[in-house]
Amino acid sequence: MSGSQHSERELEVAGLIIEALNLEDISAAEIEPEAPLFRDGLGLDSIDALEIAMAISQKYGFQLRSDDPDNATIFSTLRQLSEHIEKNRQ
Amino acid sequence: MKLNLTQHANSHSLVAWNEQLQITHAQFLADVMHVAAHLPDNRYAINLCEDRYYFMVAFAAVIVKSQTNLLPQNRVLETLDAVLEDYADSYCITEERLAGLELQQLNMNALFKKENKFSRAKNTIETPAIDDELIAAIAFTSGSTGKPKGNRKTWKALVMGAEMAAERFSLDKKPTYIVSTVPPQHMYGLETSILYSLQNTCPVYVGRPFYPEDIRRVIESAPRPVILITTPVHLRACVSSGNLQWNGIAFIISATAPLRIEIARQVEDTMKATVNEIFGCTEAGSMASRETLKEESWQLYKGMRIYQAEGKTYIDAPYMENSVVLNDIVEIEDEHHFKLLGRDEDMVNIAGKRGSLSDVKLKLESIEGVKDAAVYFPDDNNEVSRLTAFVVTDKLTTQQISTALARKVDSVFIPRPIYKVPDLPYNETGKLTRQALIDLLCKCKAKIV
Repeated sequence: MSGSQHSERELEVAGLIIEALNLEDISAAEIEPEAPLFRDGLGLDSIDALEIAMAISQKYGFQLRSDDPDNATIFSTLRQLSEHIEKNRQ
Repeated sequence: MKLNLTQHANSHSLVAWNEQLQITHAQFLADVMHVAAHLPDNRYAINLCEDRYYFMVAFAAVIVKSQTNLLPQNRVLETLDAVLEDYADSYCITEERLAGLELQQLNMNALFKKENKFSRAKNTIETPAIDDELIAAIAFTSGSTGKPKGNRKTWKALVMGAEMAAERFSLDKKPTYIVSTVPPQHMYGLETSILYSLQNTCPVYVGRPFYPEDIRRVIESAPRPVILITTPVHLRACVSSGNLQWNGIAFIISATAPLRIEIARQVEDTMKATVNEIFGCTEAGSMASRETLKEESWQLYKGMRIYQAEGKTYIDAPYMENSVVLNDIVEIEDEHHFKLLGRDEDMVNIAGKRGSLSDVKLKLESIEGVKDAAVYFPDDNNEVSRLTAFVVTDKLTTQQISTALARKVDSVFIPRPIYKVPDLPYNETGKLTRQALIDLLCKCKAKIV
């Protein structure tokens, strides 16, 4: 991945992920907007998804749900997650 | 002796439900007979179904055919291959084909699309009786040697376990609806969702709600009385996810790891229900419970016995031939009560999954290019703390190590962070003490290694 610029929101969400998951060996700018967040990318798993959902509900005031048809894409990349937050924040 | 597959008294008694479906006892038996008729003749079935109803039907069909359910702790290929080394005469039941697994795979979605010849006469199907000595399931735990350890569960053990729980939680008094977040392949999940439904006539919600809002919605629309069966990880998420309104839970059961008192208090305040914890292990099943905010001590299920000999603690169950050694350090108060003081240092519990530090270390060391490795688990009382690893290697990046390990262990046991170090701080006797690892961690964090 190269040339991916972070938007302000993406940096904010990257910071939230790092804080929620205690990823002490990585900085917000190092989470590529288009790279996968789960296996093979950052290597996150379902417990992490629960942690991130918790942090999102606290910071942006909405709840994630398993029956959301967009679920397959929400957690695919930092960019997708940021867009989902932008659409749903309260 | 034979014991019935279910205790449901009549054909319209409810076995499972969701927002669209009400699955009666008659329908369940018809589904079980339908699936049983399509099972191959092997001895073992690896039951990987994620849908709780599919799991339950497959589980029942397998034992109706006098076969054994194998319940691995995850679907990582290396785990499944290790199970198959010891249980070669197996096939696998799933909803989706598992790539890379060289084994006959039976697809439940496809089976449920086929015509069910038992459906027409479903009200006349007799409840099958199962030999009580049949090994109904083998539940796997990660051993300390790198190989999964199989724990054999006779049908009698599962039925009696359900009876003991019914007595403890008064489940036999009236039909209690169950909503569970725990996978049925986990011993606790198997006992509290599948067996409570079959043997304690508690209808179980077929889905597996995951996010707090999922759980809240299912509870909201569930018939009453409804109980929530879950883990500390989910309870913490439920009480920390903004302003969710909870109503109508009769009580909550938590297990897989100790629930912190602060969390239990928040749960009772916001979810408006009493929290009970179950204590158990894969080897012996559920064995004791407590009401977290009222009791520090655990009360044994009726019929279980705990004793100590030669520095070890043993559990005796009426359904087991031999006593089981407990990995936890306990203080026995009287015949029926004990306190938990701590745990064996090698065994850790991450997000409800139990694993061995030496097992993860062995698997790290088996990665080509890794010369030496050590694994550390912080004792910080956090539900979601992960392992930290120190690895000696000149060839690999930490990302490569993590990717290689993902093929060998469940994701929760992949250390985060992984530090590359020039060597490990062994003492004169060749041991790595916990303190030495803590010191090393401080140096790594300060980037002075």
